[in-house]
Amino acid sequence: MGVARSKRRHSSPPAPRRASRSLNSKSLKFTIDSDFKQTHTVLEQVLSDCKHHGYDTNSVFAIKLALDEALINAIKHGNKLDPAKKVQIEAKIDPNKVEITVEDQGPGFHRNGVPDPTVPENICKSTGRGILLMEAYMNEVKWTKNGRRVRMIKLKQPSS
Amino acid sequence: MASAGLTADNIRGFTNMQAIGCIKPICLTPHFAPRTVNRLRNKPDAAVRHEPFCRTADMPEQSPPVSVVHSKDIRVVEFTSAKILDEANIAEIGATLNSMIDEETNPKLLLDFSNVDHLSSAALGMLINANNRIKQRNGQLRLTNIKPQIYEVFVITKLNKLFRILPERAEALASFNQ
Repeated sequence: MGVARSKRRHSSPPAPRRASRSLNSKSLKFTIDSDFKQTHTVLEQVLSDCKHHGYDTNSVFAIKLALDEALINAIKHGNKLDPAKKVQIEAKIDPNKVEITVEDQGPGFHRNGVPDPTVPENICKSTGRGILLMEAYMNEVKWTKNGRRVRMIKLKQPSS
Repeated sequence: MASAGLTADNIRGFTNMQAIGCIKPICLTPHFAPRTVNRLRNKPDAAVRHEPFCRTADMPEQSPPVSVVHSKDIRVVEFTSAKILDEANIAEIGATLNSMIDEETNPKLLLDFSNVDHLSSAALGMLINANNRIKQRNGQLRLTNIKPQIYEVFVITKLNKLFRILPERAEALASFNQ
């Protein structure tokens, strides 16, 4: 994981790889393998920055849920667990909003082709709720590049 | 979902679920590791109920993802982890629940979410599979002690209508049909 693949370590057992932070902006960039275990560091660092910028527990919960679903979609449904394919993540976090993009190297998909999991005929099906949760918990979710790239925005809630 | 006007921010209610903290088990029988449950699934139920979970040298230090206690003929399964996110963890929990369901003719399962602070759509899928399996065996499933943030996930996905969810463990135990 990291910005430059040349910096990736190949020790055995694999040491935790640190994400790189761009020096001239407040964005976090990651490139991870199609491996669920590598999502942990991404989640930890993004959420840590969100907390640092004063996002409340409900917002952090929402971002965590949406980012986790996006990463699982990219690894499982996008890259289909292909170890040769990567997932790229960028998170721009400022005091007003969090903008996250997740891009896989899979065949893509059409959002409108995903059935509604809340209707009676689908409610007992065990899959297909990730997109619903992403759209429910983020203020904006948009797919581009034929569904290979998703951009999600969470606005900070005004303090009451 | 944005198109349906349903967001996490506009869902209210169920606040009484956070009022009560963790409730002590009704019956303090030993906890079982999933591998113990799997190993004993073909043995008489009494053997499963009373065999203690003992860690051996070859077992990982990681604690089991669920603990199980009995209240009469009801198995009360408590998730031990705050997060039901990891795919491997979900698969292990699913296998454990399946083993328990398959051991009974009319399985009665109560899932206690006291410790759960986070879950994923994959975890919901695991719960749906367990529910489907229980229904196939004419059993009953109840969910309890779900924190408000987690309950919102059930509301958004409309799974609060599929599952029978009760605020407290005692109430959930009393809701099982004899």
